[in-house]
Amino acid sequence: MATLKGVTLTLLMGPVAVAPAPRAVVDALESATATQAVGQRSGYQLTFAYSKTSPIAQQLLPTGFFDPMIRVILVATLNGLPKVLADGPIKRIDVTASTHPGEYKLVVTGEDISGYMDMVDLTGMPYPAMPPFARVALMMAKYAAFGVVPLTIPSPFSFAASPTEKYAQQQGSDFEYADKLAKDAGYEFYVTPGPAPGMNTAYWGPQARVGAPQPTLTIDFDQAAQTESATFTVDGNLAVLPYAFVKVANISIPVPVPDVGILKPPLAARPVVPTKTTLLETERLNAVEVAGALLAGRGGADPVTASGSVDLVRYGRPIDARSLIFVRGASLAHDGLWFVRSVSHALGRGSWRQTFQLARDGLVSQTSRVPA
Amino acid sequence: MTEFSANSRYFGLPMKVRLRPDGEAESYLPRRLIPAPERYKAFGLKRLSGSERIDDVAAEAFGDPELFWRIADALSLEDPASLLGEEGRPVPLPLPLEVASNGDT
Repeated sequence: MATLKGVTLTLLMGPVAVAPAPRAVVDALESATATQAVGQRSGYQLTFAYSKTSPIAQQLLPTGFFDPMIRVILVATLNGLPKVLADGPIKRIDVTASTHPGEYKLVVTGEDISGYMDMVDLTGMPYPAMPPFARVALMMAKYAAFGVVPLTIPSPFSFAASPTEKYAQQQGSDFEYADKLAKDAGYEFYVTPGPAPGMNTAYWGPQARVGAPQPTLTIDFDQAAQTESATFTVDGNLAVLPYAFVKVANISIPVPVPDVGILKPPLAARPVVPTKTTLLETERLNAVEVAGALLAGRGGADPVTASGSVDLVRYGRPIDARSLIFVRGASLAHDGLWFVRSVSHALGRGSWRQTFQLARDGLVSQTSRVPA
Repeated sequence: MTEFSANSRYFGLPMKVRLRPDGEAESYLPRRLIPAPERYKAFGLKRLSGSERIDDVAAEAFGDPELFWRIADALSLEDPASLLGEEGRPVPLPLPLEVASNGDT
């Protein structure tokens, strides 16, 4: 009896409208990786092995089946539950010819759907009387054909200027401009695939370190452990205290900026003491913009990081990046709540391993108990 | 969003609230529309031995007994337990709808 137990992979390809990949392509698929990380674009890589006489070499490659900008959707199903791992254009194709028959290698590398947002430079596009979140939502409307749903969160200190005084103009492509607007507001801009294949969410808003944590990562708990290895690092160079000059009665006074991101509660009981200071450029900004920059918690980097790998067939479900997760079994200093900075999926025939990177602001758990 | 786990048939349904005549709020789940059975594609067939239950079949097919509702949906069974005990009946095992596309949706 056929079974969906364990890991199965679905590959959909095509220009804008995707269709299941032909049998020859699926049979040639050797491995797939997909990465999601904070502060960078998601991407994927597919590796195929084929022979010189296969349909891949004779029909698909010459006719443009793997051309750049062809859309690829990668869905992995773990125990009957599908999860979209990647959705976006092919950006690079590498072929390694071999002297051995059947060992030609085709490596297809691509980005998430924001790869389509980089195609046209729309510098100068006017956005009269629109605050940044509205500009991003309008830019995303062009990509409705790719299933992109914008989720933009107004910054607490944004306002629309009267168009008779000044109005904003786009700089660069849609992706570059949305990314720039996000950085100015202390926000993040990224596109996540899913929940259904073909759907995407374009998020423009603050980094949210709130919400329900994912199932606990367990290290060294006999048979309950699913985490294969984990390394924990404290990097003093990343513990930075930002400060800014604030004008009081025409005198500039340096003021240290506490890390007060609204959606960034401290995750650890003992934060790492800052070892460096950095100057925030606030001298030329007006009062509203200064308040926005401070509230965004712009200086806050995470000095404590963890990285490791987990076997998903044992963990039970894929770990999502940009959300919270509990760790147990890593001793007092490193147990507790963490923020998932990046995840990377590696899929082979019947196996699915995930490497993760976690981050937080210090050591020692805030909670005395961690759920199993 | 409700707190149903991802393998629940109610996952992703919004929780609704209505006011009772006495003014008290009552939360309830909206009706779940069962997808048309022809949208399901089978990846295998299972012949019942007569003694197993629908969640046994789901555990064998998906590795998760709580996904029994997929089989019930694909067969348009109103009562999942009615699958029990019919010997020799072939039961199609459906692919999840998300990956059952032929490219025409």
